Amino acid sequence: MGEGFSEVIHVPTRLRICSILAEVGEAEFGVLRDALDLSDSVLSKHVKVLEQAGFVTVRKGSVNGRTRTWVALNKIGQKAFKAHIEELRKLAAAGDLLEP
Amino acid sequence: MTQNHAARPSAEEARQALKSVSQSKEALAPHVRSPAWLYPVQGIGMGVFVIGLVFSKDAGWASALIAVSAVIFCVLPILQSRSRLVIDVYTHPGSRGLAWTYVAAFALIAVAAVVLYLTFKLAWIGYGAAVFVLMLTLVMGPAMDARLARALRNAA
Repeated sequence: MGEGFSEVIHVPTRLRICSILAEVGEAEFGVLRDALDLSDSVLSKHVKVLEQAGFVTVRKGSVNGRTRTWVALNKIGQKAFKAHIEELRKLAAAGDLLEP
Repeated sequence: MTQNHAARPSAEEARQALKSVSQSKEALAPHVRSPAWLYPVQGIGMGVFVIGLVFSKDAGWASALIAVSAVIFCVLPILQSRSRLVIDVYTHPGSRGLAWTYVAAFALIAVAAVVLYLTFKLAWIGYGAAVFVLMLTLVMGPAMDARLARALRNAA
């Protein structure tokens, strides 16, 4: 397995979360939930795993008296995601070469 | 950082994973929309800056306007960080080209206004440039958002 492959990121839901976070500075929890069509609990669980792995930063704030949570892919997470995507491309390309 | 030492995904699995990445970007596209107040406030800030710049040599209040615009530009990112999606249209590859066109157009208008005012000493040049910059921002801001959303949709 290549150096860039990350088991933490490769889990489908987490890969989708990282795909969105890689495109934005920060995304509010509700945006991630709606865009990926996930339940709060599932999203929360996967964000926690990414946070524990050191890939995302979670920020809480208040807007109009309501607590909101923003999630961002930090520098380590961006690097890991980029490396993971590169690894997937290599694997896909290798498969193309093997096909008749 | 956790690295994997588990089973190697097949080429087909890798292709499916890459496809899900593109689909996730596409799912993000409908959410790319700056707050309604952002570009009007930004346009006013830029207009105030242009007026301050144009009249900076002739009027004492002009430097106060430049200071006001600086405050607006310091406060904007703080307010923007409270929006649902914080995305930088100026650096994102999907909208960077259009964003730099906007920045270049703004710089051109500001420089042209200063040069024309210094040449002809007509006050309306400064105010006209400010209105022009405001309109430019009101048009280009949503256009940059739309370009970025389209780029994300086309990723799929």
